[in-house]
Amino acid sequence: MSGIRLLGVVARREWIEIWRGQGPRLLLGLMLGAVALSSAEGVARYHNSVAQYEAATERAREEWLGLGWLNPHDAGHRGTFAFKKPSPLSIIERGDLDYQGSSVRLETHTRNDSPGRAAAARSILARSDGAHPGSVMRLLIPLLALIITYRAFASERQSGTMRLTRASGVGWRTVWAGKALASLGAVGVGVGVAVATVAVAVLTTGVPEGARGSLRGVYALLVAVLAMYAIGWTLMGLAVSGFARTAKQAMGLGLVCWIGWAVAVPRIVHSAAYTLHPPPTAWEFWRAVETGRGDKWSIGYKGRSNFLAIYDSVQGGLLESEGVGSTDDLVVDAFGLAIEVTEEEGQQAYDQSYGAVEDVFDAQERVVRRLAPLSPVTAVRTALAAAAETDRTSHDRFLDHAEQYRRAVMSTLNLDIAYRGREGRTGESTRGMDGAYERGPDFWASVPSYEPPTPAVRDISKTLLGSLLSISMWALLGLIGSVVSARPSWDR
Amino acid sequence: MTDLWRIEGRLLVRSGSWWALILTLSGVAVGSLLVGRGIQEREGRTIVALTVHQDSVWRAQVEDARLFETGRLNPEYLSPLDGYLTWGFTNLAAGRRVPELAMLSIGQADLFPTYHVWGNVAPNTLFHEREISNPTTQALGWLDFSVVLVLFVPLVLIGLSFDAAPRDRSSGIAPLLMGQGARPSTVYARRSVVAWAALMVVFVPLVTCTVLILSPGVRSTTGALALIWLAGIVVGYAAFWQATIFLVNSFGRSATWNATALILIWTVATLVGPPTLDGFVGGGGTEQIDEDMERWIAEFALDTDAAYQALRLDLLPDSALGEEPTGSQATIARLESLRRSRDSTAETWGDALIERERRVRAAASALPSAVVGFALVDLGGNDVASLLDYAEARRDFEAQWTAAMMRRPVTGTDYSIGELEGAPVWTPPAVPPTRTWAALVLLWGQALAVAGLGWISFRRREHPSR
Repeated sequence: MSGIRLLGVVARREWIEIWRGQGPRLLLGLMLGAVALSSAEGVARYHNSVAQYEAATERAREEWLGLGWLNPHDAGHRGTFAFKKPSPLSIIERGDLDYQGSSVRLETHTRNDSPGRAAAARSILARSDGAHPGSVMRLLIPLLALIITYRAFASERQSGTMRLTRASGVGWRTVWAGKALASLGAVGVGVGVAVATVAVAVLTTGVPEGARGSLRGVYALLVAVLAMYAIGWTLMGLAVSGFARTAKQAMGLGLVCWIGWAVAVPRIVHSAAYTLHPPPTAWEFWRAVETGRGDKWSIGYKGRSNFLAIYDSVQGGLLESEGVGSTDDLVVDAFGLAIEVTEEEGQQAYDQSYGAVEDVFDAQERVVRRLAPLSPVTAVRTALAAAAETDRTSHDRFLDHAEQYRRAVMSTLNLDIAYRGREGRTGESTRGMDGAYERGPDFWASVPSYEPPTPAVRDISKTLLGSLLSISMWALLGLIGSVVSARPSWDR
Repeated sequence: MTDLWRIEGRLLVRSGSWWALILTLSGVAVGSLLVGRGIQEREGRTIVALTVHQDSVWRAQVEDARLFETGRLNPEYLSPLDGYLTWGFTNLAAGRRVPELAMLSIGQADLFPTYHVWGNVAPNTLFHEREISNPTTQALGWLDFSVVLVLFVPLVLIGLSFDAAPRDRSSGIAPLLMGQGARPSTVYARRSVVAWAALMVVFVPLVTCTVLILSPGVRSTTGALALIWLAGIVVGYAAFWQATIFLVNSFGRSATWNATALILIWTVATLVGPPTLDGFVGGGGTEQIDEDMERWIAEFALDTDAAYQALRLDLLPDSALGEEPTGSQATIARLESLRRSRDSTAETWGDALIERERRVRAAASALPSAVVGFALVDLGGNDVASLLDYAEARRDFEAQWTAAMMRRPVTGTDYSIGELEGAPVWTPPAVPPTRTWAALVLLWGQALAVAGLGWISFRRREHPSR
């Protein structure tokens, strides 16, 4: 019998053995059912989020356009909002979405944090990485692979059929390849159907024509990551089965690996990262902002802000540069310029404080990345969340983008006061600060509305490739382990 | 038959896997309590520092304004407006009382504000929406004691007993035992009790002693009762899982079948079931964006046109710029009304949350892992109701303070030193450990019911007709 035919025979026999067991069938059914249900829930949630996003964006714009006649600085205090646009791939993976907030208020003087947390409106039962297609697949693909593979070598060794097979002239490589092929095929069926189910769910969201190309590329990479994840766990399962003396031992070892890698390690790693690099408290954060801005918020209005000092300094500078003796003769409004100066000072303070928090989170994630080889689950979660734009990087991109918009709008308002604030004034009331200078609907309409950032496909692809590499290394370990354990020298 | 207990006990204690499992579990449990205690201490330290800082700022300001010779207020701070700009705008701090047993379960404490700093007429200086946390760590879940109990204790029990019956069948001991007149139901029930008791004898004292060492405050009578209650929850939850293992063993299947079945039950009961239940019962679709919008608008209502203009022109003209104050009762009434509107939005949101939680808890009573999760978070005081109680107390205090500080601009009379010294003082609401006896009854009831099913299943197999 030729090698290929022998391989086919071994693979076919293994395939039949796999599906004879109740475990794989039951688990496959459970996984596909859970993926289908969570995909349906994800689609409903996505449509709900999009509807809310559109309504809120429209309402925020209407409120801005309906400011009426107002001093531009007052308009800055009224402010507006930026809302995060949900990505269609968020159906697959919720990632950190429920812990990030989905909007930010944009106002003068202050760079606000993103407030609401969907998770706060849920119970503690939802605090376990959620029940969405991504979490279901990352949890159940390994279990499916282990249930499919645990008997592969161990039970044959236990019953002695492995020796019989060898005695009939079938080489160990053929046996290994046949079993690997059948196991990978069986796991592949599950993963394939799950991925197709999710793809159908994503397509039902009506992805815009323009976004399809980039989304297709990201989804292809995502499928590659999931496929490698499944391959890695299958090979690891074969290695465990090969090293174990009995099927029971293989099952026990496999489950320990699954619980360790899929359930315990991600939590332990993140708790360790937090302990090693605790972020500043909210109180420390705001104290740093105050110090950076030169404000003394804690001691009442009189000592509250350094604005008056800046105002005097700007006014003095203007008197000198314009060469006039009285503030009434100034062409440029000191208030508008002073506000712009404080805005810039505030920006530096906020950049420093937010930057310090990001540095801590980055340090935490470095710890997680270093410990990632301990658990492929971390790598696959990173990939899924990056593709779905539900990770911290995507959220930070949204916040930075919104902050750039805030700065541009506030600068427009402040400079309008500075350079137009003194037009059409009479008598004493010539400062922008007193609210006498007002702007109307046309001016508000000239301020462009907030447009969310386009997906950073390149960065996302880079993250996906990094995860793919990490999971591939792990799968390579599984490959080596399974080959070594399949050798006759391991027969006892 | 008395020997059977002893033999089972000895066999277990001599087994290497028992020691490996118990040591690993103990290490993880102690580690999780340390993680919880670390987070609890950090919160406590921040709140103490914040409160002391704010208190000293207030006292220093009052002292600074007091004239040395007379002990009366410096006229600069006496007038309604000047005084108001100083006293009324002093930022205040309020923090919740960190519960003694918070280390047991972090619960929702990392998602709700646990301290605030704000200025009395400008709630837009309300700084702390929440404590700063890495969203990924929050999403994956902390490794606190509730996670160890809910996820890992059942796994250790499964590891110890999943093959209790098949082990005897494959080794040939079962026929020997039955030949001596022993009944499988009795033998495996005792084996299950021994495995469960052996784990509990080590685990429960270890946990309670660690809690006592890490949190000396629980040594009071209330604390001791709370610890006994905690032990009851741990033992009851373990009893439920041991009964489930007993039931699965009664089906007479192979060791691998038992392992697969138990792991699937565990996966559904602890990992997939709870969030799914929360989503389906509580309403899966988040209303986050709408909610954000409403809260934002209510929170920052003081920045709306009318209020901002009123506030700025009536109360906050800067005397350096030569403007006269025109503070009026109408302006203050408007500010008060906006503050109430903001509080009302927060209360409506809180009420909806409590109602949702009530529905989820009712449905979750069928799921022991959820019962234990809620029981621990209640005991630790990090449950939604306690966190919302703090928020409500803080809002009430803010209202008291605002009323006290606005009295002078409204009446137009001078501030007095007595009034400043007698200003309202923040007292955080007490967070007594909540012990829901229903949770204990429920857990033990479920454990006994499943054990009863296992017993019946074993007895049916013993029947001669089988």
